[in-house]
Amino acid sequence: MAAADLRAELDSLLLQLLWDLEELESKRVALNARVEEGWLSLSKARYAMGAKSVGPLQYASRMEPQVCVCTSEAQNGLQKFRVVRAGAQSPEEVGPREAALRRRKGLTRIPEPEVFSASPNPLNWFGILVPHSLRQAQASFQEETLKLQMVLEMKPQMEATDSFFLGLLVAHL
Amino acid sequence: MRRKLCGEFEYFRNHSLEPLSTFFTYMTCGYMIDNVILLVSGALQKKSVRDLLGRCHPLGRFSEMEAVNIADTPSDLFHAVLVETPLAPFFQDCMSENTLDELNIEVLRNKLYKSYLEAFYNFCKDHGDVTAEIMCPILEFEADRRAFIITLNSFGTELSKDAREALYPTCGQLYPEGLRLLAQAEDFEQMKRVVDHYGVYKPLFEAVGDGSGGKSLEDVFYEHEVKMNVLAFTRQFHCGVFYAYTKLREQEMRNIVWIAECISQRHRTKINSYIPIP
Repeated sequence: MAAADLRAELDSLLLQLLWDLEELESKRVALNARVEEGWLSLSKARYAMGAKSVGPLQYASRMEPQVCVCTSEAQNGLQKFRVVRAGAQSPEEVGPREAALRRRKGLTRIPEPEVFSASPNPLNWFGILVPHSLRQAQASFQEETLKLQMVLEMKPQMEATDSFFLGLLVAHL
Repeated sequence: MRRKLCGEFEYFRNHSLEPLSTFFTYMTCGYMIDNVILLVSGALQKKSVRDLLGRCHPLGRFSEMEAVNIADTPSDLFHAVLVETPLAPFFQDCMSENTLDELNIEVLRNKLYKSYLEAFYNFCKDHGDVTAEIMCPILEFEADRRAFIITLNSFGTELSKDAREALYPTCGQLYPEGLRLLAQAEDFEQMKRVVDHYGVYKPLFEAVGDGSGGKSLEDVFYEHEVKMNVLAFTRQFHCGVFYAYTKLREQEMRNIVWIAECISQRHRTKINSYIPIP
């Protein structure tokens, strides 16, 4: 019975892994499609505005990211990824990370999560009256960052399932 | 490709007499405006002057170019730098802006181009003869195209309707009623209702595709421009052939760059989306 239960569990873990893999693959394909769409829209903008109007010469000399990926470790030891937009202030995390109680005086400062100030719209680097294709390119790249978060969240989960499956398999061989 | 075109242009220019040589000067003013705006925008972004000068269009070069980036206001730009250049007459409406920020640079670009286009149009009209018959419709279309594109690109931006109307060139078929209606448009559908009154532009707007697969308004306008420029070669003894030749060569270069980008991005199905030149 124990062997049958073990086989059933291994099968269900393997199926879960394969479902997750299929989902990850479809999300990756969607992500790549958005990236390609963005680059094609940039080419269309270059066609409409002129090759020298859409290029590295227009980039700001000091760029600030509008989106950042922050990593942290969850309670179960898995790596967590969070896509943080500029201007969004993440709440100070208090709890499992602390090794000791806080003191009233001489408070040990917990490093605050980084706060990203909202940077100006990068579309303005190319002028105020930009064609629709350039706006489309920006929208494609912005949507890509959303899909990126989904892909990043899936990978550690899958790796955990995979190691659990292998551990179970090896332990009972 | 651009260097070859510039070499040909300079060859034509060096062998020209009046009024053709003034006609060539007018042609180069458009590129000078682009260069001035490139230098001013680059200065705003703290780019190196040497890099910016390297990217300027050769047909729009003038000796005072290197000093453009020292100006903080359009007034400084005019008095210190551009007063001795062919662009000086086009600055009369551009002094109202106090600082050169992104919005004011865009306004400056469009106001300069408006003045330039109107002056070029009046020159061709005063010239008369076949040159006027060929060039006036081309420049009228260019003026109307600019009005349409400014309107379309201004939706969702901080440019007010009044400021937008001030940028429209007035030497096109849309002036005055069409421009007044266009200034009030708030979306593409309202723009389409404006062109219902203009037989030349209605079919162009109907050819615009919806969604990412079809032609954009810019593509449709480029196609129409190519047709008009090709027709310039059916008449003889006029200055318009030089303008048409230069514009068709530029379209050729745009097509080649587009094809190269499609190949590098592996979008081979999109290669044929260029504008063919018969």
